Amino acid sequence: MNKLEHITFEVNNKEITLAISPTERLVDVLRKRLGLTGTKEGCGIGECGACTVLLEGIPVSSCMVLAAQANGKKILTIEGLHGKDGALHPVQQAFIDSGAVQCGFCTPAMVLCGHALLIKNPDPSTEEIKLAISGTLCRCTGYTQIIEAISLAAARMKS
Amino acid sequence: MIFQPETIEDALGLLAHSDQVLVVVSGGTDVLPAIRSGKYASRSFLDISHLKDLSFCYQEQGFLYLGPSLTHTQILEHEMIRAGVPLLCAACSSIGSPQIRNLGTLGGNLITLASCADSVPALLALGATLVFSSSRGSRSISLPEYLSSPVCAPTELLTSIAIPLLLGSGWTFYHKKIARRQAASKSRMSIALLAQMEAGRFASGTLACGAVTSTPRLFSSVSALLEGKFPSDELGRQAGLLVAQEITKSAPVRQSYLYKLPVLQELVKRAIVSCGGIS
Repeated sequence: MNKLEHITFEVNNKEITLAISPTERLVDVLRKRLGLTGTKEGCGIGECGACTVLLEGIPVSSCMVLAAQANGKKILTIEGLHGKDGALHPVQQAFIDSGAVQCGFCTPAMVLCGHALLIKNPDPSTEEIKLAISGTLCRCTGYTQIIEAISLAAARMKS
Repeated sequence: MIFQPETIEDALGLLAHSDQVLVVVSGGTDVLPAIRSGKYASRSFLDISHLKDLSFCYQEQGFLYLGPSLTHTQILEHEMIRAGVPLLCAACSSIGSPQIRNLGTLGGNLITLASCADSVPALLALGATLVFSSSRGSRSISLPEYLSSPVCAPTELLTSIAIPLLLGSGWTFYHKKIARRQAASKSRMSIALLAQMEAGRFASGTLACGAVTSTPRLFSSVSALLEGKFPSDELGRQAGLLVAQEITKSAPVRQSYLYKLPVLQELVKRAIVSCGGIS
């Protein structure tokens, strides 16, 4: 009764059904089984935020989510984020234009956190941007450019 | 095996009839690291993260009832909770990072029972009661009583958290968490003081601390000290001393107390002075 052996979920607007093991993590399903390696794994204990994906539009650490918990849910990874007609999404373009990408390891998570913030709050203050990215560590410490990029994306998306 | 019940009744049925103790997954932020460390090898899991019936919030007969599956973010963003128990919001906002607050739940924070569980001192100060359910019925237990003997049968599920509504005026609170970083960091210690002020004096004051003793705890001696007094540095100093004495009397002295007790005493003083609106 209610035993879960398969999950059906939507990843980047594509419905997928998979057999899962009880302890399988969402980050492993995304990276190892679906080949979506844009999602990075850093600490594996929910502290660095590198594995952030959007679960039902909300940023979560995918190393802290069982694959089973994604059953019936919508997931957005960095591979699924894009602008109109296949162009880069405004947040991605703003990261390039602001020089907000250094080693790139935190970039997918930072972009997704910025994207989720702008959906909820199209005109965030610097403090609100800082709070939105506060769960994602940038080892290159390029936080100033990342904050500028999200702010630039907000301005562009408004106009 | 992992089970994903469709209703609370299904979940309670699975707990009652399973031939082994199921590991309940609510937010998953404590279970996943435990799985990684090998703690739950060959165990079966009960995923209740999608049960919307455990994510409620309503007021009834003088109480605010919170569903244990409310995430910390949902608590922070819920108008009724923000207005009714801002102390709980202050505590929940200090937990983990946005990504963790989006997953972690109030019930999980309570049941994991870590010494540093950040919502617990606030819930203690607020006088919370826990409701556990099983397929045979429900029972209520006050949070201090639960913390003194944290027994939850393998067939039980935390199904509600009841907080008395703050009646009358003059309510104020203080909450502070000390940690290495501002985000994604465990508490070194945390403090919650809920007070009702009347004509500048403490009509009541309830103080709780976390991450100092093995479980977060209330300090009823401080409540007795505060009643009827005007807040002052001296009152804060006396209360801090009481807290430190109570901790050293009731628990084995830890090496960390060399640092923690003086800091805690200062926090207690600040809490009392802050509730009096003294800068």
